Amino acid sequence: MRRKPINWFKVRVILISFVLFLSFLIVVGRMFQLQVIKKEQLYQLAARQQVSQIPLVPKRGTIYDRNENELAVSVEVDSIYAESSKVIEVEKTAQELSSLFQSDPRELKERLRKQKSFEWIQRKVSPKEAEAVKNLRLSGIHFLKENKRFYPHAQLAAHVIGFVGLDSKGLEGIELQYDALLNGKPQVLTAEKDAKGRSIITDAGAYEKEENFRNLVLTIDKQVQHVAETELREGVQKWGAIGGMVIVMDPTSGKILALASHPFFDPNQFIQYRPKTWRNRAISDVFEPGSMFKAFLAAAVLEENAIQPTDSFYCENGVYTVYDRTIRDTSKHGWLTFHQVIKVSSNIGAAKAAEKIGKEKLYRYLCAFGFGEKTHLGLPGEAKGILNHPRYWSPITLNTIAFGQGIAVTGIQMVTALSAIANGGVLMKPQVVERITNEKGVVIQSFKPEVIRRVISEGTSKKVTALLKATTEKGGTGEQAVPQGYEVAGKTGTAQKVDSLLGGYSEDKFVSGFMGFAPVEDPKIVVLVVIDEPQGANYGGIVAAPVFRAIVEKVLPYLHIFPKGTMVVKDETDFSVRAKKIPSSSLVDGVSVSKGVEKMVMPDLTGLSMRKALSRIEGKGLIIKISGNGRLVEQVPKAGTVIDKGEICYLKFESPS
Amino acid sequence: MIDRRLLIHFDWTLIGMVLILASIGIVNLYSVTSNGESSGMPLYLKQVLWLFIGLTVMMGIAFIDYRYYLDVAYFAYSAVLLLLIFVLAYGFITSGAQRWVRLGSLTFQPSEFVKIALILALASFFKKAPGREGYSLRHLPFPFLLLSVPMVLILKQPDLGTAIILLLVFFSILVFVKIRWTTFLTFGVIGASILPLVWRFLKDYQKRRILTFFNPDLDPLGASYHLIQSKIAVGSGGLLGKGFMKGTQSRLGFLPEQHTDFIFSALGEEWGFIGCFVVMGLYFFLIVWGLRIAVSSKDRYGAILSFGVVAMLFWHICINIGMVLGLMPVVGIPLPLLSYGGSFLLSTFIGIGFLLNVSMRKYLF
Repeated sequence: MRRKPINWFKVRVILISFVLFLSFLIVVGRMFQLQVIKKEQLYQLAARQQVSQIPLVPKRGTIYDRNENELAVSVEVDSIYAESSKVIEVEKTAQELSSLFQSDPRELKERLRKQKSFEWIQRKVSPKEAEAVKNLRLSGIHFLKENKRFYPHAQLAAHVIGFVGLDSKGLEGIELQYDALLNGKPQVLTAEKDAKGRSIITDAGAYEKEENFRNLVLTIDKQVQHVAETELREGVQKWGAIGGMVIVMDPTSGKILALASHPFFDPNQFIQYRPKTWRNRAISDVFEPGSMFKAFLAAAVLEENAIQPTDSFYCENGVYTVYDRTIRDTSKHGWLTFHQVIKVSSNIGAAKAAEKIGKEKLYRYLCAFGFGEKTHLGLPGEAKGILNHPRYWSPITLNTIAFGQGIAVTGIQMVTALSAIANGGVLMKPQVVERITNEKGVVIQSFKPEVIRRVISEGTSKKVTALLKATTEKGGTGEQAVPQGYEVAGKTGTAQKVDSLLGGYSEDKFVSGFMGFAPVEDPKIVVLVVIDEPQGANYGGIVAAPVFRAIVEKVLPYLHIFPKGTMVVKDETDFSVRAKKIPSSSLVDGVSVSKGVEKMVMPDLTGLSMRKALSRIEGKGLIIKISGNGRLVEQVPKAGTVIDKGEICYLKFESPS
Repeated sequence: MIDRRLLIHFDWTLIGMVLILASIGIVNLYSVTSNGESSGMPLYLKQVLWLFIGLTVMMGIAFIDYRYYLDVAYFAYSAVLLLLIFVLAYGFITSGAQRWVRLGSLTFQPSEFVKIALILALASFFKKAPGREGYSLRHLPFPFLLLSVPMVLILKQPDLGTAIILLLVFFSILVFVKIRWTTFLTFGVIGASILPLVWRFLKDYQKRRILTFFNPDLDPLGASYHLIQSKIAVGSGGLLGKGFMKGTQSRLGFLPEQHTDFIFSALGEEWGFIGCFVVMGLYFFLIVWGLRIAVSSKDRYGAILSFGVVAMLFWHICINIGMVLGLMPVVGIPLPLLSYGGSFLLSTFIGIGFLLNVSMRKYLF
């Protein structure tokens, strides 16, 4: 009797168990799907809503000159933020802060009312301002350390270094070009965020402080740069010019020791200068090089053996008409050798010389020298200049390019090309960055000098150098470029500026330049000086050459190349022992006494730097022996002693520390 | 009064499982609620207190022969109904619902006890076996009355979750006591045809919950916020979980109702798939064990009573976890032994008391 219902009961129980089992299976399956299969995705979702990231200005790498003097540094400063949900007296807080930072109190109040956990009040405040805010003891107002860029030497090399914006992004120069390297990974303050969007910053100091920035060591030499800037400024001011540029390059390596562009600006306050002044004219502005360009004409014709320096040209007494164009010389000449053409800078002579090799060949040489092409020195905003292909040349372009018209160049191209003449014929890639180091100062990457190509033979380079040396000798256009005690080679240039309003060449606006290298026998520096729109005089030999001279005069001794008539021997042996046995004024080999007095009174050099001390007694035919570094602490002979040429002076230097 | 044999047959397995689950519940609750700066007694301690009350009540209920409850079933049912009416009249309102009465310093939720009362009343009604064909519509007006009166009162509070549980428990018991297939089918048809009508009676927020269940992107910060955040919490726990007290979703307040209805997502976040799997296994074992008690009961009344309790537990677990895992629309139903809540814990332990009661008397005559 009871069997049947029990059977049905069992069926129902089995059915119920089945439903039960199925439900649990579905649930476990779903758990597996969410927690194992879709885990990553959901985890990301959780992390995204739980974390708020506030970008901070990271520490940025230091930019050094080649002797590791700091040119741009990152300094920690305070930034102020509000945790507005914890600000108690909104009214008072807004009043106090806005009066301190001269901001709009209403707008600040609005922001403080937002109940957000993170709201910048003022970033990168001065220590004084930070102190003032700290003293107010406002609740909900906190501080974070951020980094601010500081340029300790203000305008020094500003056009090379560039500057950064408020968010520490490079905007110009090296700062822009190497922005990613200098900045490293962006620094982020990570705060937990609750469901209401309030961040929970447990410890403001504990944010990710990964310092993986890189430092840059430039080829720029602070001292050389300083000299270049000082002399450039003097030149520009003296001639009432609107601007100018100076580039100093080591011709054998292509390393740029100084690159100055006038007007200067202070990158610490770049915003107060007109954007025009930020432009690095030395690489961004193109100009017609004028007669300076004859140096490259000479290189081309001599390398091609088309002309010998002794070949003569008839210079048409100052007026030479080619097609519809009249070429003029500043002074009338008859027959001149090519040597003289360069020395007195005859346009007509140059134009005729160019005809000897023709446009195709000249063009090839100019390309080989790097004209019409960026040098890729590693600075942003470089211009290519203008060098058209000969098929677009007018019938007289060949003649005018010979003296630097109908072609546009940049300063850096000129210096690089002249370096090729100075170093024996090899075009080097200009270089501003010496090496990259990491945050501990360990070298990550070192840049080697880079040869681009050989342009002319060593023999030709010697010949051109001889021509350029002649320019600086008596009767040459560059007489004023010669510093005392040194032999230099160079070329003057004066170019009429293109009048953008009227077309054609301007009557009263010139670019005056001088480029050269020194010492002639073993060039250590190539210097380009360009003065833009000088007033009163316009000849490169008058305006720019003295600037060149002043720079060479100061830079070469700094590079331990002393004027002729001076022999400096590095002497590290004990000074006092040596000083006792001063040899008599016997002749020492290799000391040529070219200029200077027969007898002189020894000046007091105590306390002077090595450079200053040497500049006082160099060129006097003395043999100078130095020891140590820093300031002069002892000298033999004593001040006031009458000394003869060829006598030995001992100078002892010591660092002040 | 206490038979020695009762102790011999005392169901240690059942009580063991219940205690393990309740302990997990306390630990989990501690982790979830210990971050806030709430004043007064911490929630997990309150829960411990409720746990002791619950255990005491359970033992009391277990040791009185369940056949005595037969006599008081309708009385208990009526008493609970009165309480429900009292709630509607004098109960206080929180978050839009009038569910609680104050008893001294304790608050008390009568609707939790309606489930127990309904199970008692239905067991009492169905204690006599039907004919061979089982129950048909003709037999059922009274059980429907037993169901609908409290359901209407509860829907008025409103407490949709409890109402749904009542409905599911009711039909589970009908299936268990055997109703005719035709009758069951009729219910199905009627149910399907009045669904649109039910939709019209739903509150706006309830409609939105159902709509957003099918399309969570509809309102991610509003109606489907719970659903999305819960899934994120469970999923971000991964295989092994973020660890005890390390659940960021729950600690940062992204999980709503994290100590009551959404306790399982906090568990999933901190203990991962492994933790969830262990808890689910315990639940599964508990339900199977309960079903075994029902099936092996020595009489029909005990079988229906214990099956009712099992059905109640099962539907709670099923709907709650289904909701937490995003398998079902959000309905406010707590998770037995894990969710915080005194009344619910008490009613759960009363139910388990019944199970114990039936279990240890299956050999007594």
